[in-house]
Amino acid sequence: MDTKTLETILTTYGPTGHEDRISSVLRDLVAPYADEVYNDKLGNLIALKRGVSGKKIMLSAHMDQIGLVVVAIDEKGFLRVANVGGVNAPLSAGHQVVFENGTRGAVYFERNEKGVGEVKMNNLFVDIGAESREEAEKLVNVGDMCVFAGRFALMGNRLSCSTLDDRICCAALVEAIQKARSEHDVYYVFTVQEEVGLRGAGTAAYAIEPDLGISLDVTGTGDVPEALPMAVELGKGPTVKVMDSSVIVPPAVRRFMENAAAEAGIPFQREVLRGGGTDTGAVQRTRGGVPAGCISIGTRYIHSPVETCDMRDYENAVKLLCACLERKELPIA
Amino acid sequence: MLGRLEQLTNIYGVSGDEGRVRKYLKGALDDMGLAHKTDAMGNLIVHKAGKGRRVMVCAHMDEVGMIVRGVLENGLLAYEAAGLDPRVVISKRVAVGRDDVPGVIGAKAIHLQNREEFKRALAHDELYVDIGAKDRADALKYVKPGDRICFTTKFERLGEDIVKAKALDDRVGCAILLELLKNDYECDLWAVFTVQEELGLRGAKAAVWTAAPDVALVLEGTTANDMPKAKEHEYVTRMGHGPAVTFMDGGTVARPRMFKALQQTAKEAGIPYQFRQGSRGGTDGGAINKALDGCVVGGISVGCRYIHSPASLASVSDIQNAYLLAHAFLQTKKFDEVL
Amino acid sequence: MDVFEALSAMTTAPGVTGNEARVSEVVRGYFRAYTDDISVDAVGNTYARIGETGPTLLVMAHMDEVGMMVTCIEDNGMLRVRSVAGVDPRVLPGSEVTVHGKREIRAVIGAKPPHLQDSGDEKKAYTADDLVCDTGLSADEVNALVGVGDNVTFRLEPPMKLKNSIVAGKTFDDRACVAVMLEAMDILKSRRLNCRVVFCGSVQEESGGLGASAGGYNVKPDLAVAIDVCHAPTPGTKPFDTVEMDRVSVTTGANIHPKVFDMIKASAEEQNIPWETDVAIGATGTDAWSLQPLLGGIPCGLISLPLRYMHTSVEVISLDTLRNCAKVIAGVAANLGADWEEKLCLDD
Repeated sequence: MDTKTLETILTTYGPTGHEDRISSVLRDLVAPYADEVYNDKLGNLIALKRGVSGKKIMLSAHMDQIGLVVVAIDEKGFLRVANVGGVNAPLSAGHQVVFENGTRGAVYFERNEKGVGEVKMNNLFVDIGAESREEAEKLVNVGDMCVFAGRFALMGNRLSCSTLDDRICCAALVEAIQKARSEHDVYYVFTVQEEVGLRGAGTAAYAIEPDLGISLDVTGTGDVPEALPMAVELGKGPTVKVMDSSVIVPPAVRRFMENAAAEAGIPFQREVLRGGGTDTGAVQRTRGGVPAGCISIGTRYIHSPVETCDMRDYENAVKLLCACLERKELPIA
Repeated sequence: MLGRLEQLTNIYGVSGDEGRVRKYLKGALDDMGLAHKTDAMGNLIVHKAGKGRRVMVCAHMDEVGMIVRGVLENGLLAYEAAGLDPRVVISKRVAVGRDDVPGVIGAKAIHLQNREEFKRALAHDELYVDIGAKDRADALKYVKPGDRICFTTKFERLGEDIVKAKALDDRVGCAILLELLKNDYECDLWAVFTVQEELGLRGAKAAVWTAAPDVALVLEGTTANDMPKAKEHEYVTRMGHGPAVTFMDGGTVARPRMFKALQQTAKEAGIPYQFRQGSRGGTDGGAINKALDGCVVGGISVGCRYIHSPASLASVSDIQNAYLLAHAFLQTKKFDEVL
Repeated sequence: MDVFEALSAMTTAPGVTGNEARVSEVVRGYFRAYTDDISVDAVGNTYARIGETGPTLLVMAHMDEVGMMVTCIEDNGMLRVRSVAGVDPRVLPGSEVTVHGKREIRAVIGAKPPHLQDSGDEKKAYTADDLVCDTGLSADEVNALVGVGDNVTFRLEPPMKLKNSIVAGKTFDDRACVAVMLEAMDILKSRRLNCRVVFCGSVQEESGGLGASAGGYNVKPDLAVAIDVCHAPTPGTKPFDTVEMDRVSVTTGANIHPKVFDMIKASAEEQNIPWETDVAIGATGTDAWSLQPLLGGIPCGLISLPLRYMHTSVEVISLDTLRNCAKVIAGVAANLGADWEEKLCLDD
């Protein structure tokens, strides 16, 4: 994928619940390759590429990113905010944010004796340069959301950008729909509202009733200073997920993915994520249960403005996904 | 509607034991000539069949309360609570079980406390319900483990515009829903009086399978924290400033079109409204929006001061305006504009 | 039916949450004595059906056990492990475990020896990150046999008999209740049923009830009774948190349909079985919680077997109470017939 398209996917506005813009960008990219493209009630973007086997595979990567929602505007024009998804309050202070209409803001915190480490969400405020409530209300409203201003930085083999979670996997789905050849009906689902509870994936899976679900998301790594033990490192390949807080991947699905990787000569790692759930769990729990697995891209500094991954892992993730889609036999639990 | 609210708030209906509220509502529905069904969890469902959009409107029947866990040797009752801060239950009158056995939740008298005790808040498992029994055997003549324990606060008007009652959360919603059912709307309407919202949106989780809505309106009582020591941005809602429209809570993020539609409805109809200025807290909407193949949920709430306590307050004009807002939304078929 | 023998076979088959295939196989073997109608669904729930007409009663006990998973292999071959669901790391140091790699490998869980600890260290509880799983094998051997994601269970030892029909062993939570189901099937094999009973060994109860959620959807029962373990008194437990070892616990509360409670109570009383009400204001922490709201609402009940030292390798139960639980559930099935809808009506 060319850098410009990748950057667009990564930096288009789309916090949880307000994914229309990123949905539009992705829709234009996938429509030429799909037999059907549509958005469902909650806004999930679904692109279907039909096959012949009668089996259905649902792929998912979430479009939404974490952000801050405006809860109140004070008389001086400062915005009071709350988190949308897992936003770390101290890590937000000192960053620039941007609203859907382009309004920029600076995030800072109420002075306290202990410094920024003790800061909670309700100690933060956003300065959009307004001098009064009236002036602020011309630019933003209560209920509007802002996101960290996107910075896209290529560092050798690695990429740093606040939205790798999960736009790097949205990019992977866009590449896969162009490249993969599958006998099965493949639903490329760009889900909504993952960051607040995997809400889009479950509803999409309920409607699609897939025989297999493969989600794509980022996962943590154990390769930074003082990291807690974790067997994932940047550059050693995408991962086949074993378990996270939302799902235990069925051994049969793991084997299916590992066999696909082995046969295609794609390096991979096995991943157990300590804290954090993914769309995989929501898909698995639909109706009478769905065999579901996940391919993850190891990412450092998740949910910070400087998320960092290795682009070789990204490329291998796309290859692994295509290799899975090209299998005739699908796993049964 | 206010008369209904008075009757509704006075009924004892703790989560899991909503039978009496349901009975009252069934009576009211029978008087209105409306058919109704009760599902396996106890949700009361009114389906006003119609062409067009499947729309669900709901309010929960249950109130926060307690359950008897066991009877101690000395005749006092050990209890468990859900959704109740232990600090608000002390020094209150209650009714226990289907026979409404009178009881009190007392605490050690100040005179007998030492300095440390005086500063520390008591937890639920240090508090007991006293029905005046001599001992365990005596108590078991009147109550049993599993009986619900409910506050006995009576509805009252305070001043021109304010009502005081228990269970304004969410009998205000029930009163509004009952009022809405007097009208006919151009949609396939599923009105649901849900159970066990306070235990995790349990009734809604079940009812949504039956209603299978595309659009839903949730009528709730919500926090009004407009108090002297609170910071303005922590008020959530202000009593008397109109029904509150939700943009986000613990279980939903309002779809942009729904959020706009609710505001538009209010402006068109000249109804005062405010935003629910918070991002936490749950309502039945949290269960409904992500069930089945998804549903666009809108929240209309009435701010209640001292919510989840034996005596809460709400504004009569807020309640009336909440009804008008929900009514206008349905009347002008905004449900067709939010998908 | 030899309950102890069935318990031994089931508790020595590995089946950590999310990986129940082996224990499912053992359970199917026992189901075969009572019916040919046996199946496994997409998530691994294992079903046995009896009865031909009438309402469908779903009886559910979970097959999965709390256990651990290898998360990392250190350079020296030692394994890092994490609980998959519910293993208290404080019970682990000094435990003998089995690592389920390409073959079953015996190992121990180790932590810093007492001699080398700073004084005061012994007061701090261990967390999973302080512990290692040591197989004694070389790094090369370990890497050839074990991978990240492999399960680690308490050592697969059969249960032991204590006095007074009391037994101790691993994974009575909840395989003792799977044994209750088998015993109930044994009781019912000579009875004519006016209902259909689906006995289900569910999966993943310990990690949030995926099995119950999928199973309830697949079976679409008219009512359901979950069977799980509950806490029996031990020193330090509070009065109403536990049920005596010799009583069948019958739960009441918002998770439970009051009329199903009545059916269970009636069955216990007509058979003179000692039982006790266990009160849960809301969530019961069992499959019943996942089952209840499905498909517009399933009337649910919960019967529990009291157990000491839950989620350790030395759980303790009474075989007499186990058999009583089976009699109670069999009684519910035997009494279920054409008037079931009437019986379930909520009287407001």
